[in-house]
Amino acid sequence: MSTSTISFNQLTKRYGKQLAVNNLNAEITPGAITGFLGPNGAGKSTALRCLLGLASPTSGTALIKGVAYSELEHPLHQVGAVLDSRGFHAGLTARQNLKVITAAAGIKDSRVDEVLELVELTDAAGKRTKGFSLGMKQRLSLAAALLGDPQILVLDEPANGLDPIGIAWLRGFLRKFADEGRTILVSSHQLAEMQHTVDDVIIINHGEMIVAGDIKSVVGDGTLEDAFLKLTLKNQASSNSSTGGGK
Amino acid sequence: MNLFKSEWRKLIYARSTYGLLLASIALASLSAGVTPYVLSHARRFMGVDGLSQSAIVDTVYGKAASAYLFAIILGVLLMAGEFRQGTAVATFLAAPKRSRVFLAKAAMAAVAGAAFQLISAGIAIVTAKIALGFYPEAAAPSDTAILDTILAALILVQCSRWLAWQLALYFAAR
Ligand SMILES: Nc1ncnc2c1ncn2[C@@H]1O[C@H](COP(=O)(O)OP(=O)(O)OP(=O)(O)O)[C@@H](O)[C@H]1O
Ligand SMILES: [Mg+2]
Repeated sequence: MSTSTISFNQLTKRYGKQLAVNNLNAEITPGAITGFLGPNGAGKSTALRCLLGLASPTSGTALIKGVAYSELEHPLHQVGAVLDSRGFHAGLTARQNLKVITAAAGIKDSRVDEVLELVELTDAAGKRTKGFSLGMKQRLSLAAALLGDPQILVLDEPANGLDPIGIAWLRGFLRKFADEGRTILVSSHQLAEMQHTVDDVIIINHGEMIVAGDIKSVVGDGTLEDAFLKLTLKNQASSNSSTGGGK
Repeated sequence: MNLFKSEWRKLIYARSTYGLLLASIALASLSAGVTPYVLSHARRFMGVDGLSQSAIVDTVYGKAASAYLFAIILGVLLMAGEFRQGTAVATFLAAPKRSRVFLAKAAMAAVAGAAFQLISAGIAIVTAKIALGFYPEAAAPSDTAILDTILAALILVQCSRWLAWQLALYFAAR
């Protein structure tokens, strides 16, 4: 078992009969941006939730520096996460929502205004999140992930709802973050965007990994979209024939 | 301790807390304030003679503990509100050991519930004194009436804590 930044070791998660993640094995390269791709329902969010201790694996492990998230000493200082299931208290302001988190994690309050500035939400810091647009909520999620100044970021569709300026900003931000030697695992459906952002890709379908490697070797001469469609469709056909033949 | 501070912030930042506190004070004061009037009429017209003068006065003070319902609602909001809001994810990311989160919440529900009851009952006792002032013939309360009221208020809060705990476990299990 590796102690590199993030590792999935035969991770399997079952919801009743539904196999959400099936024997996933992967190592995330430190100091790089890894894109985590797959069709809807492929199991990306489930794998990330297992990694963050929000869901418990049926078998296998998802580890951070060789240990389970729940065993990390100061988790927010090590890992920052943006998740689709994350919510904010609508009646609290952006700043208050973050101060609830700094208190819980033992982070100093001065960090709150720093991260709000980073994600360019300073003007809305004192506003209740009830009135926030999708993109503003997404920025606030990112701000929350950055509170502990972590070495690792785990982002589930962070570009959701961001405007073009926001997306360009995010791309630059992730690049800078990785160039500082930090590690990012980011899921997304925006393949054209990902092609120009990530160093490595992992593509999964039906909970199983179908390809992993650096972006050049996966994409070849075409686009990431071409490679994605070809790989997932091929995988679809082979899994259909195998289940069809098995029953 | 960090988690307790975080729960404290959730409590004092939320406007609903202050709405509930006002409602709690209003209900306790109202029931303590109108009881002398109701009881005096009951005695005159319906012949409620079973109660001694001092028992009536004690009843009035006892009404000051009657806003426990709001302490229960507060406890439920504190324990279960996060699952509805979706902020539970953020809390569990900061504190992945969930039993610690529940302990902090339970402690905060107990402390805040007790504070609610003490404030509401305290103000209601003053209201009761003023209301009884309109009835010069009223007897003095028994020595322990006010203390009993405050104790009753706090015991009711313990019940509220238990109820909130059960509800939170129910939601967490889902
Ligand atoms: N809490 C749950 N209970 C039951 N089934 C679940 C649960 N969460 C996920 N699943 C199932 O697990 C599978 C994988 O879902 P998951 O959300 O991980 O996919 P995803 O790759 O994140 O998809 P998307 O791109 O749409 O976000 C789906 O079939 C989904 O229905
Ligand atoms: Mg998802």
